[in-house]
Amino acid sequence: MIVKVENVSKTYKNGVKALQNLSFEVREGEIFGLLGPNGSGKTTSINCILSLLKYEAGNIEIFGESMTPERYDLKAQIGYVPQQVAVFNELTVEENIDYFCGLYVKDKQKRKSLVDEAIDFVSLNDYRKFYPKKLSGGLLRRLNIACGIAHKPRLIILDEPTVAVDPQSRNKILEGIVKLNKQGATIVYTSHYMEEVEQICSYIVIMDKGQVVSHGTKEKLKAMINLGETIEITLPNRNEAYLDLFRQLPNVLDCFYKDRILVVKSGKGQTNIPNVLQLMNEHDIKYETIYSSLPTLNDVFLEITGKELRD
Amino acid sequence: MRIYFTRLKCLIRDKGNLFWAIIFPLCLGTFFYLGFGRLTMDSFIDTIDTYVASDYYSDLLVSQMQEVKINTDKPLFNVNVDKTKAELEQLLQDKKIKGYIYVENNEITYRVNGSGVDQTVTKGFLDQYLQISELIVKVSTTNPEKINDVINDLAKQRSYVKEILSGSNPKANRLNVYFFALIAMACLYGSFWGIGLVRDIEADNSPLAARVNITPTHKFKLIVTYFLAALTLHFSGNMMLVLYLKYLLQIEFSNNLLLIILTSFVGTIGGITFGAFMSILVKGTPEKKEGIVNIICLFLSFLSGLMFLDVKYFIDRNIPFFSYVNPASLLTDSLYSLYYYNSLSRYFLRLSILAVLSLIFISGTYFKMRGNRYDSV
Repeated sequence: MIVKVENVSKTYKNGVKALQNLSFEVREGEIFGLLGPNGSGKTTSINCILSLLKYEAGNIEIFGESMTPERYDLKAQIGYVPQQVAVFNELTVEENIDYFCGLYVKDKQKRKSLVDEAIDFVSLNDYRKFYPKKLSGGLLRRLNIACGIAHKPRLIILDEPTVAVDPQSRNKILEGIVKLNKQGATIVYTSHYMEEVEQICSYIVIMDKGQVVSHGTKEKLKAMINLGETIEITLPNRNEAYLDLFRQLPNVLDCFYKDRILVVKSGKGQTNIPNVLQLMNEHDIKYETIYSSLPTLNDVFLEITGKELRD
Repeated sequence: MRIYFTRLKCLIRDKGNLFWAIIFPLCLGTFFYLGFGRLTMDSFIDTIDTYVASDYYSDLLVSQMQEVKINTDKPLFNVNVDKTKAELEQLLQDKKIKGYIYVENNEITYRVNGSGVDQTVTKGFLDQYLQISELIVKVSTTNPEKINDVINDLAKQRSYVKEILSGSNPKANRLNVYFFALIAMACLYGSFWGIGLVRDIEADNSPLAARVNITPTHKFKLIVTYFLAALTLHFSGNMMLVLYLKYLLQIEFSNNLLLIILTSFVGTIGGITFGAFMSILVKGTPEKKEGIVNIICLFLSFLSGLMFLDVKYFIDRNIPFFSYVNPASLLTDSLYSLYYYNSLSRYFLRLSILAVLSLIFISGTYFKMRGNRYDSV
């Protein structure tokens, strides 16, 4: 077990109960996703794991040993990418990575090659001599990541590394995380973007109000809910009478409008697309587009908590 | 060493702090110099044209007035006794003269048409003249045999004043205290580096510090290294200021350069540790802390005589304890003692107190910072 969080509770001074008997385990080689809406306790969990925060109850182990602020031997094997960009504005890209890498690796030659590798990894070769202020948001995030992974840690914790990042940089970051995992690092990845977690994580814990609401592989999580398929039909005009028509179709769980889009949610089983198309033909319902999608983690979260991930 | 040099690089490239801690005191020193750096008591007061009524005057008074000198060549009063009281009154009404003196029945009257430096100085002289005259008259009537002792005592008092002023520096200039206070302020501005130290190491102060906290580098090592980097830079800046004032602007300091350097060194430590300590005490963002510490530094410097010299004397007279706990006052007084006194005991007392205060500041900072986990980050 790489990380073991056991019944951890944390209450802030203002009375907010950030974590309530939180428990989960991260196994070696996983990309472990911690998914939850803003304020669900993801960052608090990470800060407790890293021994930055005090907590009233529970136990945290890393690499099978109890984690405390003095466990420098454990810290030496961890890489941390904080949610906010945390680099020195007075140092260039290369100097920043070298500084943070140097807090772990003393040997100058070894460090130089690690820094070069990290710069390559985040594709910042053309920006080596740039100061952080001259970098775009996406490039800054990549620098933030490079500072946390340059020393090739065994465990890498990334706290929402893609917040406010353009799609191109986001894809690069996600590809990079998968690559790090393939190189042997265990990853703990927190996000409120379900697509990202679905895309890269092999095991997912869904959090809400400081508690684990569900956990498992994405397939397992999706199998836990009744929803099977969501069909979205864009209509030229909204007609409330159609709702009753679609609700009469077999296996339909719910039917509602999102602006001009008619959403039909069906239960597990066969696809409902042929039935929907037949109904529209029979009643001469004109449509512009029609899409069918399988359940997402948001659907899982919605079904378990009654609210959307991004509420 | 690598952490030390990288930290030093960061500090040198931090233009904001560099300005406040190094450039600003240099600029202020230049402004002080341009404003009153060349002023001494010699140049501050010119010979005052004084008028004594020819029909109501006293030989003794006129001769005493003619004897008073600003320096060996420059008399304090240019006494004119060629006009009558009526003529002088007319000139006063016409605002052609600032004032005149007449003596009637042994009573001295000084008539003026407004206030100003000349009138104040003249009145001051007349008050002193009257006091001494009364004392001599009183003693000569009650104890005539002691009149010589009194005159000798008065003469001794004068020479005693001269002795103090000529102790270590024959050209002692009280305006130099402004420059001493400026050096004290520059040392205290090391506070900004102290705040930076806490900001970049205390996990609940910044994301950067949180990141540093989860590395395998010991916190004590970081504190010492960051402190040494700040000390190097700020001490260099303060030495630049001292050398700039002493050799370029020719401001008079003690001739003991080694002790001036020592003062600046202890002052720099005091400034940085003070900032770090305040940063631990004050809650809020680093910007808020910088604002508060900036105000405190300026206030402490103000109390040590940076803006108005009389404030320092007022504090020294009425709240002496405060002068012993105000780092700015301790620094100003250390330099003042070096400049004015032959004995070094006063100097070392103040410097020792400052060293002890610095020790308290750094110990307090470390004991708070060594806290392992935080309530929130």
